[in-house]
Amino acid sequence: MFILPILLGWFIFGYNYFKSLVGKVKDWPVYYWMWGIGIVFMIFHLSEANFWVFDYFRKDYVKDLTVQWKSYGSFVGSWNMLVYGTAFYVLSKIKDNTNIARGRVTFFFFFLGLTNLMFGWAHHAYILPTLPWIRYVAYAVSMTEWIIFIRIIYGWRKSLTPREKKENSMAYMFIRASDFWVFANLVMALLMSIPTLNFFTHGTHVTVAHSMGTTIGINTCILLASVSFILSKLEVKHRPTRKLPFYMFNGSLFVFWITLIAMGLKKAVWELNNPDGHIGELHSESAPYYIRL
Amino acid sequence: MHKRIRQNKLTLMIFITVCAVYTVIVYSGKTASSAPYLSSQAMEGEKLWQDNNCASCHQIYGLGGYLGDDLTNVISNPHKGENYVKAFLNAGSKSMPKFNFTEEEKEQIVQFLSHVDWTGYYPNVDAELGKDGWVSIKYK
Ligand code: HEC
Repeated sequence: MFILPILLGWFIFGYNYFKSLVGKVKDWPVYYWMWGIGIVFMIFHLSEANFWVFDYFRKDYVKDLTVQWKSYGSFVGSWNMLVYGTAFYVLSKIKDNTNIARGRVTFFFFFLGLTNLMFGWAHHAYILPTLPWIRYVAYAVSMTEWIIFIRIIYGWRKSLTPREKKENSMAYMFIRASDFWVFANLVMALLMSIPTLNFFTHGTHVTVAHSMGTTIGINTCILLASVSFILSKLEVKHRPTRKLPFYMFNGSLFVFWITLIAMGLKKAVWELNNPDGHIGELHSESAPYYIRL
Repeated sequence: MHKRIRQNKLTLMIFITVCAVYTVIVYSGKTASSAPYLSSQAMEGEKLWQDNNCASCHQIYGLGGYLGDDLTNVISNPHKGENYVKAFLNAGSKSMPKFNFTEEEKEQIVQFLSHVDWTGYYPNVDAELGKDGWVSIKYK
């Protein structure tokens, strides 16, 4: 039961967080909301992921799987709240302007993200024998992400001023890179949430490309952006300037990502065509992909 | 300003309430599978499945490691089935470890996998793919 100390850690973190903020800061900017929600939902969904210990869930196998898959989706959503909160924080510090973090549009997107955290998980479970209405809800909710998609495209047209870019160049580069990964992730998520496409991609490396590939890109870039931001506030000689590692990281991740997608499509085709096959055959056929990995 | 803060708080409350109701429905509602509850033997089998990390290499309904096969329907597969599974467990192969299960444990694992098989199909080869993006999956 390794989960208990982990949960305890989150509890203490949450207690500390709310104790430091509640009543002390008025008119929370959106990233305080995001961090707060992230912590609370993380605690709930991490617990939920372990509900299988109770016979009530365990005895009903399909329900047990549904609840486990639900929790995976939602605790990733909670984690995203924490990470995107950080991205927002860094961005408003770079721009030296916290107004955007309190605006109407910003909160609209916060609530849209929350909708997907709460209800979007069910596209993980399209292929499980759950009742169709759960799958309908999932389909409808997932498609709201198109709004985020359009928003990102629109947002690319507006950018920072050259001076702001230069002063925080490393942090800014990482934020831009994370934008790319968010975009890639979203495109995949949108396509994979359409049941007919999900039918093929579920249970293949395409899922991995989405859940790990792009997410590694997003989380790492945002965390490195905040580190770079902190470093940029230090004396000049400590400021990170080398760009090679930045390109190496993003470049190799990109190759990894494309390979996973190719591999996944191959697995999908193989599985549907060889119901009695042995997985070893797929592996031998796929050796070139592994080597490229 | 105060109006905006109040609106945000209210919206959050509504979200949390709807989410709570939805969660309770998911927890207490039915599923589309006609399988009964797991038998105690099958539950023992599930425990062996977890304790031996079968899922790190094998999938059920497509979830799990990609080294081994998806085992959702291994029992009802006319070319595989119970005895095939039992034989596999203690024999191992190039890439699957050799286990030392007793007859009883092998039977429990088979009971578990039979139960899983009972709940549905994966891959759901007979599902109907609609033009509107919807998939009607076939239930057992
Ligand atoms: C280290 C990875 C690994 C672990 C752990 C593992 N397996 Fe396997 N298993 C494999 C691989 C790889 C194959 C395919 C072997 C082959 O075709 O030569 C396989 C094949 C099988 C098969 C035959 C499947 C088929 O459709 O032909 C069964 C049944 C099976 N494993 C059950 C189990 C069970 C039950 C456990 C846990 C007690 C388990 N395996 C643990 C890797 C693993």
